[in-house]
Amino acid sequence: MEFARIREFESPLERYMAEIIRDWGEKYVIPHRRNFDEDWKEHRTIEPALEKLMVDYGIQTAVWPEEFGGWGLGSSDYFGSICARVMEEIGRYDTGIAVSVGVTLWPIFVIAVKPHINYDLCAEFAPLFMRKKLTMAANAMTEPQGGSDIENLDELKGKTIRTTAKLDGDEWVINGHKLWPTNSGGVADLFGVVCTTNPGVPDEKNFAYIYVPADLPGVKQGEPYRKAGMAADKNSDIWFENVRVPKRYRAWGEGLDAKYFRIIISTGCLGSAGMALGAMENIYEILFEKCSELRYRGRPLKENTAVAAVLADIAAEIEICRSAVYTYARMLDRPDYYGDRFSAEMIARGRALKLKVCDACCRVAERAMDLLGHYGIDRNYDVEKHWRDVKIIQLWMGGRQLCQMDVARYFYDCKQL
Amino acid sequence: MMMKLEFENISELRSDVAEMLAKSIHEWAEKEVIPYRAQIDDEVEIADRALKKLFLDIGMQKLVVPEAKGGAGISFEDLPQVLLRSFEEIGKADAGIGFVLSALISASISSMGTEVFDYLSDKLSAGLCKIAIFPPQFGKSDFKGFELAKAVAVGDKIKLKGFGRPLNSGYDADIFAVFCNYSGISVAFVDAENVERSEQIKSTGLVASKNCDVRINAEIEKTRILTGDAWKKLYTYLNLCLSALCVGSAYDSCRILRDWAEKRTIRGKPLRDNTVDAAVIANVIREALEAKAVAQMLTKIMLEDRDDEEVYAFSVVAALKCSDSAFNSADRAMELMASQGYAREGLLEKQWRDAKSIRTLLNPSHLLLELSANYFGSKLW
Repeated sequence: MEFARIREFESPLERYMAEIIRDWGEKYVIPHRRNFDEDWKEHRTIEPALEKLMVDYGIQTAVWPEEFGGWGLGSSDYFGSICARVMEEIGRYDTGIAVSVGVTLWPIFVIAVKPHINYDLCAEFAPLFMRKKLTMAANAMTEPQGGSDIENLDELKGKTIRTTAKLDGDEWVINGHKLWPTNSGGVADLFGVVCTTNPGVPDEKNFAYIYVPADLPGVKQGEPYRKAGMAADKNSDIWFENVRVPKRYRAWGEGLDAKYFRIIISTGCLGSAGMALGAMENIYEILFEKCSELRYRGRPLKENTAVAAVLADIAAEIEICRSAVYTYARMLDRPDYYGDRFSAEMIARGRALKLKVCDACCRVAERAMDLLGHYGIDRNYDVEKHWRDVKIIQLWMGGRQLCQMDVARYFYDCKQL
Repeated sequence: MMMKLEFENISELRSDVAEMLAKSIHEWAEKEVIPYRAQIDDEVEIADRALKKLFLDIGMQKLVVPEAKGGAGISFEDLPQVLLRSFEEIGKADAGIGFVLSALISASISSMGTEVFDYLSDKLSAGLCKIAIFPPQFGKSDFKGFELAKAVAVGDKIKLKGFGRPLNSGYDADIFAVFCNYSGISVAFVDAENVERSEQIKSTGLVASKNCDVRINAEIEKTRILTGDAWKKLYTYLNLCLSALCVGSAYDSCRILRDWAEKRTIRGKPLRDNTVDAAVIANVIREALEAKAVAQMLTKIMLEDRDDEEVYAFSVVAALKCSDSAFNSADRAMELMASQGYAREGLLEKQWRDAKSIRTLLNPSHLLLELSANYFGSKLW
């Protein structure tokens, strides 16, 4: 059974990518997925799966412009739709891998997606991702005290950022402490670091987005955290101690960094919703199978009206969420109709999407577990893994509360939140 | 002024015995569980050691065993409030250990006054003992939509066959309390040597409860079987223990959130002073208080002279509500704590997984149908 897919929104590349991801997922994820939790620290089974997808299937090159060896996804008129599809398809197999892949592409969006393509920086960093070697990136954003306030640009204008960037001749000197970025803990080769050039002063001109290769002196990463789930997504503390990078590693410069950084918010919301959608679809597939096998009241579980009602609610959530995800994706693809991807309007719409789809996903996973009774908590049934994994999707990027405030601010014209 | 999170039970449910035991359990938790809680899922010996101390040194395993056999000999009149306080304290420390104890205690209580009780008392006095409950399984529809183990009388003995998954401890239980179709619905007590076990299954939480699928193929004395409404008594006490356990879990989530929120600022002021966050915090404590109220009500009802059916039905409501609340408390606390709630070291995520496990094991979809049958006379089976 297939949930609604709006064919007019679908690009040929998207369909192709969906096919290769399904091929990859069945061959390289499913056989090992139940062991991912034990592999959270070493990534002995996770890394080969990632490597296959990123290097052999080429996903790590996807966003970079064609002239630098990439697929040119950043210049595609279907950029949003393809991003959503990639996240959905990977999320079906493992949302931890989905976020690990998504976050590798994320910092690149700031400099490699039209209309803001920084050719000099693409020339600088694209070759790193063209190597036949697993190459990951991370977005070093959240800080110990301010949390997700950093994303709250419209209200705080970078006031709470404590990681500093000071210009010393032709170099930025970066100092600060970041918390929890996906692909930290020794995974990433390149960081996009959110800094301030003037701490405590609320002005977007002071917001600096600077690329920092992970192997530079002064970059220190802690041990990965043990978490409830999301084993494929390593997170740790990162410290930047007098880290020096060339001046040109700043993405755009005063004012523009903050402006284009916002694409990280809109695409982050889309990617989160996309991978949550994929997880829900896999839960549906598992329920379809198990609720046909298990018998209750003398018939298959799904043939009981009380159970069927819950199954229907789950299918309805997925049906509606998929439509919503691809509607937003397509809106991101048509800035001529809907405004820039980094506009307040598109960010508010993205926050609304993330809020709704992530809530739905958590609810779907919870109800699926309840339906299966004592098999619901059995790791061999895979539903509980999705339940543990998807919770953090709801929580990251400021969680429900920041989403709610952005949505209220835009849709109700709130001025004092 | 900040109010304390703890909310004492209503006066008529307090007793010296209950408080004394709760104090011992609190000390046990401080010493044996809390310092190691972040590692408990990875190092199984931590839970094993703590469980042993609770069961044997504090004597929870022998709570209802007569004093003559070395037990505490707690009477029916004192049991509900003792269980309420004890399981609240255990829930604050480790729901998994409490879950294993819930099965043991409810199975022993359901046998009081029968020959099974003598058998169990001897077993419980002899050393560490775990009892697994083997409830009706998914399958055919001979008991409220589920399948009971098959029991056939052969002379003075009963032959028992069944396959499925116990509620708890299938992998290391010494005794199995098996729901079977002997003379209506009965509970047969089977020694572990008559049970074939699969490999241990990996679960979401409740790590102290090591479970697996089991194949039961036993021949037992007729004196090892509880008939009549004993199964209902078992479930009633199980529901009380789990309700109280969930109250403790919900309070622990509140405590973890409070400790975290004290140090957290957002937009230049304490997080808890922001209305959007305060509303979430309020919901976390509301869930805990609601669970507490319902668990106390169940306790009080169990002390009154009421119809067993009525008490059983209310116990189902209480277990559902309290497990909902324990999960919701942890889930909403995690909403605020975000990555720090999701990380193992934050301790909240353990309560979150354990509470969800209890709720799922209660099989809420089925229990709701039971309630409809109980209160509205729905003819479902």
